[in-house]
Amino acid sequence: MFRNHEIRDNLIRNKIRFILILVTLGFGVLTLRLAHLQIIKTEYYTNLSEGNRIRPVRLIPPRGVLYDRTGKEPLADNETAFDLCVVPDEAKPLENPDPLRMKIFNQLDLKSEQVMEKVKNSHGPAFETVVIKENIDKEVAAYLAENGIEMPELIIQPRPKRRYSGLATHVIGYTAPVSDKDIENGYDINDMIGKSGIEAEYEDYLKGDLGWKMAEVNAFGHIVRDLPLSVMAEPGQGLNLTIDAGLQRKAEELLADKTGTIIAVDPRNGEILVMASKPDFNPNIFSGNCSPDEWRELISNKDNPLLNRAVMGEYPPGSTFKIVTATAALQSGKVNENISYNCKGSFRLGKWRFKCHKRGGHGNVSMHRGIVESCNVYFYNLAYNRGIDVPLMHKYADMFGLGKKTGIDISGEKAGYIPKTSKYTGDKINMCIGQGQLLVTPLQLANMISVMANRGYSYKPHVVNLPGTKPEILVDIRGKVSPRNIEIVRNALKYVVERGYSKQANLPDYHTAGKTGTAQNPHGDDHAWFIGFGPYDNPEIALAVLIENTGLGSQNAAPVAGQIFAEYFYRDKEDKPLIAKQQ
Amino acid sequence: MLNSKRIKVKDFDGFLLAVAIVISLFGLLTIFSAAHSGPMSNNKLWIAQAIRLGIALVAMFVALIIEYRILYGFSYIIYVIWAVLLAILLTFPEQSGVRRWFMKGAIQPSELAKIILIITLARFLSDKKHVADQFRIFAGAMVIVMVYTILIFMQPALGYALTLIPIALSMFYIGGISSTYLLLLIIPGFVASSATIIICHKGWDITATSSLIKIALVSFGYGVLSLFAYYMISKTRTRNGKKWVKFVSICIFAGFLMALAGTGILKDYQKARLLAFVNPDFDPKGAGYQIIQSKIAIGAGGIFGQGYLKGTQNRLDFLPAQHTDFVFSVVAEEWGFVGAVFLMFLFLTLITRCLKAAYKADDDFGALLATGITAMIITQVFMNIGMTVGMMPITGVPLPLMSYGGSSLVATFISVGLILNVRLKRQ
Repeated sequence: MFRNHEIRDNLIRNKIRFILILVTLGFGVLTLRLAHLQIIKTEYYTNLSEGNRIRPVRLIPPRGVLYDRTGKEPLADNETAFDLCVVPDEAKPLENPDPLRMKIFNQLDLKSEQVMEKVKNSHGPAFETVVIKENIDKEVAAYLAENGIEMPELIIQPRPKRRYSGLATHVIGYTAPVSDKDIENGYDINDMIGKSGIEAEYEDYLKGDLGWKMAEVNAFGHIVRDLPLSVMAEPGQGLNLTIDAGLQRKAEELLADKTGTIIAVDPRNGEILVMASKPDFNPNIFSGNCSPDEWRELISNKDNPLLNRAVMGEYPPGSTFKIVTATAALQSGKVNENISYNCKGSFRLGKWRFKCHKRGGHGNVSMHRGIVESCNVYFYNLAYNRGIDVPLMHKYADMFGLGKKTGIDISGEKAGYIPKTSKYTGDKINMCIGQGQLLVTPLQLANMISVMANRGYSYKPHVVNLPGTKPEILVDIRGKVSPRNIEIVRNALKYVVERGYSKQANLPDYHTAGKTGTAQNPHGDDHAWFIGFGPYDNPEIALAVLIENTGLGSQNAAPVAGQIFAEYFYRDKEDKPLIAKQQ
Repeated sequence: MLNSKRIKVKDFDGFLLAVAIVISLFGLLTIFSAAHSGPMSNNKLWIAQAIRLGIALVAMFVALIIEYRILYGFSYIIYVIWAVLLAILLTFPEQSGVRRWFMKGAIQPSELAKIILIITLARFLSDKKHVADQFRIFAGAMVIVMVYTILIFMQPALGYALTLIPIALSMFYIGGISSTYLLLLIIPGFVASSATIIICHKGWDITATSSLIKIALVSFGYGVLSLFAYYMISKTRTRNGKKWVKFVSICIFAGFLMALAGTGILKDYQKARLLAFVNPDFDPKGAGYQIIQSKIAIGAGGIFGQGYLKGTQNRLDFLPAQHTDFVFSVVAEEWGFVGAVFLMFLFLTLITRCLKAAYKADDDFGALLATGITAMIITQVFMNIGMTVGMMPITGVPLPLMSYGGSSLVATFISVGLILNVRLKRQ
């Protein structure tokens, strides 16, 4: 039974031959298939293979650094932030609890379900990283970078992040993730864009040019090596602002617990030295994902910290407007500087009484005293008896640049409002002392006082000097107002500080000049104004100070201005006068 | 047991052994490349495989020196014991969804099960050689095959279960089973597999009945089919041509019924693989991913390949399971068309030498044994390479001698040893 000595019948041998033929045919088919894949369609599959492993990586240029005018103190620069990412394709291990990963998630305040949700909701291609936690702690990032092999599903991505010094917040503005509209304009969904202030205004200079590199990635989205083909990123252009960091800091300290704004301009060229607005906000919160709570708090805060009061705030100018009224009165020829009126503390018009701020009255008041002691009754008389009416005051206000934007390179500037016509006599009585419907921005008043400082002209205010540009003249009244009339008003401004109500804005070695104002506020306490410049003979600095809801300008705004003047003139000198040492 | 006088040294097929070892060494080289880089790199894998190669050679030697006719005597007992073992395996807790291994993946009993099935079937068919065209012989042989097929299918290891069908077919063919019965297996098989794909594609759900009932349905389908064929055989002697039309239509109908039941048994991932085979872009990130990436690797290899250790699909882990199931794709990517065809030529040489042993075998048992074993190697080679080039669905069948894994390597070398044994005993 075991041995079959018959010759194997030919049938079986034929069958075995048939099997061999079948097998050979099978290999023939496989060879044809391989030829099809590897010879005919090899280019197609090579492209797919390259597409698999070679991925363009965006090289984000560092955003241009913003320095103060010295070029030494950065107001906005960049640091490296680390984002924790996953590739959706590789997110599967996240479903299993891993003690090491749980530890890291706990440290970062992350929950696995939350992460899975984020991965699920991501819209990009499944092999592209999804950020699951922005700006993680640097130590955790370093730990993950070292122990990445144990958790290949977690990826650390470095990213340049904007860092703000906190000075001149409203001037600098902030950057935030792009909006849908920005993406339409060619930004990437992961980009940051300047949203306000200089960051928005000079976006094209600051953003730089995007670079690309080709990187070889593995199936898990990890970069294995960089390939030679690349386009370097062009860093954003750094800008030197005209802001004087030292002075700005002083101004912000002075405003620390107040609501208001301080602007200092160099009248010789229109450079903004100081632009402080309080309350302000922390621009760093926008760089990450600003939480809805933080955002709601900023929006609903009744003090409106996002508002740059220096250019967006509109207030009645109060007595500072008397500069306009006086100039109009003198230049129109309707008033002689020697004409005087008797002030008894109020002015009657029909059944209304318009008050002077000095209860007992100033007595006999001429133009000079009218300005120096800010006698309302004197100006009421000019308006009522001398025909200094609303259209005339509008004409001169317009000449001084009020009622229209200065064109400063900070977004969101307001124009203010100067009435052109009036129905009632009371309108001009109100307007001549800067009340009523009048609205100005602090920047407009800073510009107006620059005109007085320069004896008839001013430069367009700006915070950035772009190379190759010269200061532009903004206001020039020299052909329209005689030098003599300008001098009468300008001289009076010196006495306001020297003898009038604003002595606290005066300095021992430098003559300063200025004008206080108290803007009536129907919603609460009056707003205090001081505008001024110094030194009187060759002015280097012009100021506008507004403190909200504190009452008289002479008592509340002028001392602040005095501190700024002192800081400006004495900061490099050793024996500072008392006023400069005050805090 | 070894009688040196009866051995003619010239009958030792050293060439066959050399080819098998060359393929294994090529496998080691490829495994080194496949596990060389990436986050899952393991430069020791090839050493582990080399040790297994040593074990496999020892196992081959044992298979070579024992008198292969001893297997004839033990075959039925071993068959039963191993069937029980496979049944016990099904009661084990699942490891990643399947129950294929003893001792945490160390031993895969289904590899040896194939060889045992071949031995058993060889005995059964050689015993019944003179009555092989009778229906009861076909039925008996089918029972022997189906017991193992179902036990392996339930692990579940669809690929392994499927490899048993061509093995059985080839042995039936050599063993003298009537070609009518063979058609009875082949036609419904084709119908069933295509119908299964259609049913999966349409998303028909017949999970309402339990899977046991479905298995019973499949078996019942085969039973009805076989009975009908028996009836046909007895009548076709009258050469009535129209009966064949009936026969074929019944086959198609039965196959469709089987497929309907079959889809209920298939796991979701198995269905997804079938669908991905028809259209890989149907789910390019899921079931289609392996097919797409394997084709990319092979296609990007071009004529001369990207060079050893330089295939990017392999090196950067885009190619899944590149040291086990998709080892051929690594060869095709790194050595190109030339290397892939060379490897296939090696396999063709191996198969030719194996068939030669069947051709020259002294007795029916040896011829059937050698044929069955060769058919096993052929089936695995075609299922694996066919899968990597996208001509077969993904089944997880390893490439013999090449893929990483001990059980497959040992089983293949035992097969080679048995083939050498059959050849050696010729007087």
